[in-house]
Amino acid sequence: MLSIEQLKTIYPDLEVNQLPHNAADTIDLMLDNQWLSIPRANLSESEQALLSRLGQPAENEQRSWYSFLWGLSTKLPTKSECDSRVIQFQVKFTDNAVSKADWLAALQAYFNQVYDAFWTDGMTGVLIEVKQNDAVETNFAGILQSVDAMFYTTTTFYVGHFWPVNQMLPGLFKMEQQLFSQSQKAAVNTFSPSLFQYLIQHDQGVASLIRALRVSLPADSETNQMVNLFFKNHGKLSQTAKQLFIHRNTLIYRIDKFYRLTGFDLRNNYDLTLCHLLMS
Amino acid sequence: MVEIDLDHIYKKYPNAEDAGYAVADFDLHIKDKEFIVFVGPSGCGKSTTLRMIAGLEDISQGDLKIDGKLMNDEAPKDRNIAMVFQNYALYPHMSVFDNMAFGLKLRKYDKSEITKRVDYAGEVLGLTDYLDRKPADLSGGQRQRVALGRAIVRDAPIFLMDEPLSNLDAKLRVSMRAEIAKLHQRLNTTTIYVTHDQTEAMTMADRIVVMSMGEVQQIGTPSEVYDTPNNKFVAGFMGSPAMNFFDIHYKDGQITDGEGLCLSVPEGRAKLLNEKGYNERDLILGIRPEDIHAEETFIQTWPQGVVTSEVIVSELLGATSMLYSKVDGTEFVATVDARDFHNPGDSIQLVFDLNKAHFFDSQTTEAIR
Repeated sequence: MLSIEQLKTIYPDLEVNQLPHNAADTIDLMLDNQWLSIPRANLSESEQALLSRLGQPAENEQRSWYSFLWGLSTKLPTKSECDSRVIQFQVKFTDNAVSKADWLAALQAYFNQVYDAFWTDGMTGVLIEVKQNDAVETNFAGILQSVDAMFYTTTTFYVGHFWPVNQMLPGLFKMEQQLFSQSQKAAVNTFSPSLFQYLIQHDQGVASLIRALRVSLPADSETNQMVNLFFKNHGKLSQTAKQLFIHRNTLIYRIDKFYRLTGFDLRNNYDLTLCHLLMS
Repeated sequence: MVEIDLDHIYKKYPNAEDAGYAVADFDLHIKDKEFIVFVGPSGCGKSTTLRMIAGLEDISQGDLKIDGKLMNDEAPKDRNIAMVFQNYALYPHMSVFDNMAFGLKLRKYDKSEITKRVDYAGEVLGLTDYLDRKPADLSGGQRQRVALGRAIVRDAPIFLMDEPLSNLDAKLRVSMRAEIAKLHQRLNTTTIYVTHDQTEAMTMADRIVVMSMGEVQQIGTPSEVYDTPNNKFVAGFMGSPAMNFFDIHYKDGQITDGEGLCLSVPEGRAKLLNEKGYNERDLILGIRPEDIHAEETFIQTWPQGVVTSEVIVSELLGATSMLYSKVDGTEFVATVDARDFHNPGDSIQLVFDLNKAHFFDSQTTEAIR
């Protein structure tokens, strides 16, 4: 296998990063626990094909979810109509004896239902979670600490949004990768704060994602009023309930229902602000 | 037997060149079976130190030894340490037994060994009757105990606990505090416990390490750090309500704030201040709320310690009252008998027991003793 230095002599515009660049105009591959981004512009088609394959475990291509999300196939990986979210993870192992399959199994066991979970290279992978009707927000920080304590790992989560499984999903997933690659690196990175950070730094690139989000949110005036009033009241339940002429518990019920429907928890400031902006 | 030596440990993050050390010159010998508590405000370096001991963070400088063996470069798994965190997640679909056994199963332990360890942890934690239940059927305290159980089954001689009770409500925290103390007595493990709650530190520790801004401020038993704090930070951090501080000037056995506060320093304390060269110098006076008295007997016995102050608010706590008062613009709190009730605006006489007061250098904030 070539070293990074050797690759640099072949591709002088190669960039070495801690995280994948995830941009359409570059190819990312992993070497020596670092991400190499090579601009596509100076590569022939066969070079692009070869380099794209270098960073990926071969068996992933047999996976329908991998092929679908990474744009190798347009065939829907499931017939289920349940929405899904892609949880990306990056893991630093300190114990070579730890089996990556065990690590993944331990992570997977925390979720009610998972479409698929697999490693995309030695350090990163994805878990595709099935949306549950009775869902409560997952304690990602707790999962992270528990898994890390069990395997002596240091894990970072990038938690995507719940989307319908249709032909738009690979594009949305790609955009989520782009958001997370530029978000502040917390142990648990979630969708709404990453989107805000991205929007502040860029004025384009996520228009179709915003459109998809708008479509996914309920359009009825009652929900709209609830979200906007809750935002204007700075997330105060009693005040909002009073102004909506409903009981506080009814408002809590509707907020929970909104979460089950959209995957956005209005009690989270980022989610509330994002929904307010999308729905106003 | 497990002893831990932290020999002048430093931590500097590679991407924070200008930020200085996250932990600086941490020097501590932890005895076998000792319960050590690292306490300090957020960002003081206590969790970073814990993670360096666990091997989850590199040590920039200094030696970490466990039983005399240098461990700086040992992998976390080879340190034989069990960790409990603040934020824990249990497997929702697994029983309590399986939640505790999961890590052992992954490590391919023998089935009978797994059963033995989980049964023991269940018994120690009072979970024997709940081993078949799912986490959703448990109370918050029981779930926290399962998280502890996952650490116990590892049978490690060292326990590291990083704010394990912070997610629990106040009442549960108090009961779990006692349970962890009992657990330590029973398991006899060397335990390092990180918290920002000084009450947890005072009630649980054999010795407390008080930290601030990456540096150890004081190491001592709970009574040592409470009664003889090294500096103003330790004095103010340990104790609830916190110690009261006054900027004062000392001259010939008298302290004054330049306005209405003028008190005589007891002979022994005055002698020490004179010997240390503090005559005619500015100092900081520290006095704990319980060392300020409102009883008539104190006023008569120690008239030179009487301070006339104005009551701001009085909080009745049952047996005692918190009397928030003001003297010359400086607010302070006194813990007085519940019967000493006063209305806001009342002018009252209080006695500062200067035999129990603390004096700090106004420049270095170090204790004068």
